[in-house]
Amino acid sequence: MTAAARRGGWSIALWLAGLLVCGLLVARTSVTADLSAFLPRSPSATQQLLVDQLRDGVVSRLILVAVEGDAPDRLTGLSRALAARLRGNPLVAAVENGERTGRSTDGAYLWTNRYLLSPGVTPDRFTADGLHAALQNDLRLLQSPAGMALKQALPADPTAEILRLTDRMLGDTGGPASRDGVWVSADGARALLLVQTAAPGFDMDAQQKTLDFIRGAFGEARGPDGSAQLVMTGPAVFSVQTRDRIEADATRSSIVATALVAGILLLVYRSLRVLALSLLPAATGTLAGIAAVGLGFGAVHGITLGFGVTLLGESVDYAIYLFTQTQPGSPAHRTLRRIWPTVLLGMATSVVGFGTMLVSSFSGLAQLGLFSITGLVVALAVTRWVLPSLLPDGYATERPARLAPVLTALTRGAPALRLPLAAATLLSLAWLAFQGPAIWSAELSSLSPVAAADQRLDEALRRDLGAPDAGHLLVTGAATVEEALTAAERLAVPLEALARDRLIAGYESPAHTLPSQAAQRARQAALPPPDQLRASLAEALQGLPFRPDAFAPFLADAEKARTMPLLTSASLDGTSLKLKLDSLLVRSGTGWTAMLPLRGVTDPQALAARLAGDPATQGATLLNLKEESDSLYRTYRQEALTLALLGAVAITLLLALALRSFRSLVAAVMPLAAAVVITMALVTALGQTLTIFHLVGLLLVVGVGSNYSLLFERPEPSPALRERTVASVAIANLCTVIGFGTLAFSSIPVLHGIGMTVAIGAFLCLAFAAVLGRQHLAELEGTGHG
Amino acid sequence: MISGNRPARRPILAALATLLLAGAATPSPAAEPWGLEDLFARLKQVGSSSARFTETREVGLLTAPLESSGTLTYRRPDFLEKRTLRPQAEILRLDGDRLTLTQADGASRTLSVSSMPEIQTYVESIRSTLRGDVPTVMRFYEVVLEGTLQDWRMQLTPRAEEARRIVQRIDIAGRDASIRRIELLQADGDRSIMTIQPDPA
Repeated sequence: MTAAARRGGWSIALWLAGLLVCGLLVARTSVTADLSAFLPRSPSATQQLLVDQLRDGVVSRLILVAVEGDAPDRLTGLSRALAARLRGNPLVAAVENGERTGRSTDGAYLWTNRYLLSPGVTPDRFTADGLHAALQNDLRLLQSPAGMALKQALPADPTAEILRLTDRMLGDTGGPASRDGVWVSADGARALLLVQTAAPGFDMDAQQKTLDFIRGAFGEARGPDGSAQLVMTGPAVFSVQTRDRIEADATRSSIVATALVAGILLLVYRSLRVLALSLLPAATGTLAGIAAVGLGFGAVHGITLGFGVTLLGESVDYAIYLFTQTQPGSPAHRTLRRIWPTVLLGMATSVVGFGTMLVSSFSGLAQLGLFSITGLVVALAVTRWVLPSLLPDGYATERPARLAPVLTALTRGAPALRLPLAAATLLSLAWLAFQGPAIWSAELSSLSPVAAADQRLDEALRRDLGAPDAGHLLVTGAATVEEALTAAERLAVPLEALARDRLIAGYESPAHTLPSQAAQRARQAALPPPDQLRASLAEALQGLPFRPDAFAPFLADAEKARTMPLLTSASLDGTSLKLKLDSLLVRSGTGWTAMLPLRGVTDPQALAARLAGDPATQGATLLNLKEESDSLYRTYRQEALTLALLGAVAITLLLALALRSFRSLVAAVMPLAAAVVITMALVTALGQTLTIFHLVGLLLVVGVGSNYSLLFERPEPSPALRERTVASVAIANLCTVIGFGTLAFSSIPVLHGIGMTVAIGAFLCLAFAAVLGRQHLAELEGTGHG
Repeated sequence: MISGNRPARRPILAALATLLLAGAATPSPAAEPWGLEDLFARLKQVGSSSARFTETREVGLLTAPLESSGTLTYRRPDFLEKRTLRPQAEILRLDGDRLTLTQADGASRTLSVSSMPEIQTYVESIRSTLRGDVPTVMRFYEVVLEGTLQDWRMQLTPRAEEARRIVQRIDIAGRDASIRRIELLQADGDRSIMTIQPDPA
């Protein structure tokens, strides 16, 4: 007895020390919520580009802001006031609301360097003939109202290079609608702003700070009695919202589930101490799971956390088995010794199932796997070595008098349902076969935790703003920046042909903001020396009504451009064009990648065919972001499916090895298989398409369910114990269904999917274990109740 | 530029014209007090109209004024087209917020009027007058109206400082519900005068 007590003492000390270490680790672990945590670790080159774009690309840094709910004049005033407050803050890389002040540094860059930037700078352009043609065009422009705005630039820019540059930037839509020089939606009901954050999209804390700052600035600009509202969307807004919502949902689910489970356990055991003890393994397991994930991955994903709370559902079972099956007059450690092989085997099946997820290239799945395995092992260890020492001496539970007869009657009647069950399983299989691949969601967005309403708002604002959507990119790579820019410039000819043929509306290129050194040198060479240019200009002016001295500024600027140092990326410092360049020209591995986003792609197939057939686009890849991300997702799903099947095979092998009887194996596996099939059929019949997370849920069903069928399958020494076993399994199952059932009410699609799958599946496992179990009916009927 | 071409109104116009011809010097019977509201109420009744124009632009960069001519078309509420026929064919079309300039060779350029205050200042002076839109014209300009309904002159001074840096003043003159002359005075001294001959309806 003293030896046992000492051993118990050591166990408790070890446990407490473990708790402390885990607690410290958890405190250091940060929670992330970006979707990219659920993206691959070792993708292909194009997939890596996609992942980078999602994590850190220019699109991930955009916040779309709308101000609505007041008179139009007030809205435009608020837009100006808000933009003024945001500009210059280090959190904000750029603010655009249509005001031209916001682009003044950009405008200055374009204006000063127009002769190096414009593709119109060719030797022909600056001959007497070329200049004459340009001046004639200027005359025409002067006659139109547009001339009023353009004529200021004319003396220094008669060839209208700046017009060419701004045209190229605006595209042919002319930008969003505006009112008083500020962007508004087409119906004028909201003023619009585009904010580019300085922090990358995946830096949630910085994004959160930026959003709070924008809200604060808006509050100041509006004052306390304004009626205007601030609306924000964009990837950063979604990630932050999602993180908050996942945390809120996980917290709520865990509180509700814990309260319900505690209520049931209290009802069953009628002891607060036992209640606390039964939650101990689950709590320790959860803590250890989070610590393990933090240690292995650096951060824990919110979804892992939300999922993990429900691990309570499985790990609380161990304590329930122990307590419910401890009869008066027989100490708890004897119960433990009796049920240990079965429970251990049940845990091992779960661990094997989740173990396959560890090797997933989908880091989110690997996190879930590590979390579950650690949690389960720790929970069982605490049940085995810590709980018995903490139980009061001579602890035992009463015979579950009210529950037991009902359950016994139910289990006795259950086998009558074998035929209907077989029919239901066959029907479900037929339904799944009939649905075919349609039961699987094919889109990456199915993993997106963003609510549909938010997605609609985002689309509306994007339409209003003409903001870039995740569409088509032409990607080309090279060893150096110069080569990458040259490669991008080579694509200009085929792309302009595509634009003429209306296959694309336009395109952007890093070479638009920073031409290659070679192109810049060629443009400098196209500008004639001062005397020659003066002579050509004089000749060109003949017969035109311009004042002879009108273009003196042009001669000066051309000479300056001809001899100025070439532009480098440092020349862009301080402009928002710099950010644009950085997003379109990125370092990838040892080389550089130039990205050319295509606007207004109407017929992707025709576009792909044209690009494939054009020798000028050799070496460039057309990347359809939506299609690429969906195919990426399908790859994962395929992988997850393979892993799940492998897991199922491994579980079956493990059970076969442990049970060493074909009949026992069939009896253990059959309920699980039937439950999985019918759950899948039910969930899809309820209108859901299955995602990776449903697969995870099914793995969990198999893990939990194997415990039930093993316990049902095990011959018991006495009917009284049999009765307790049935009761313990029923209580455990109820707790699992409650744990996951609360998750099914989450608004996050992922949590909802897992919750529903496991709640349904776990219940079916128990029911089917009862229906299909051999039950040792003879024993029960022969001896009656003890 | 634009005369009412609704059949029902023509007899009245004819009567007024007769009156004017009969004795422009004598105060007309309609000399009761009138203002912007009355004028714009009349303009508001015009659904669509067309006219010819000749325009003279004096630009500091040039040694001689630019002359051009063509046609104008208006359709309520937001459509306005200026088709220049001489010296080069060119179409300037205003449809809602979109201003499109199409040149003879088919090249076209579109811009959002409201994003360029100096252009908007010019465009709104004509459009809000044609629409009879008092709130808009008051929002953009300080308005001084003089003369009589049969011979009015409206002086528009941009309210926004940004716009005043480009456009100093716009003078619009007309008879009844038709605009006959638009003079634009720019801050740098350049100016343009457009005279308008309504098409016989």
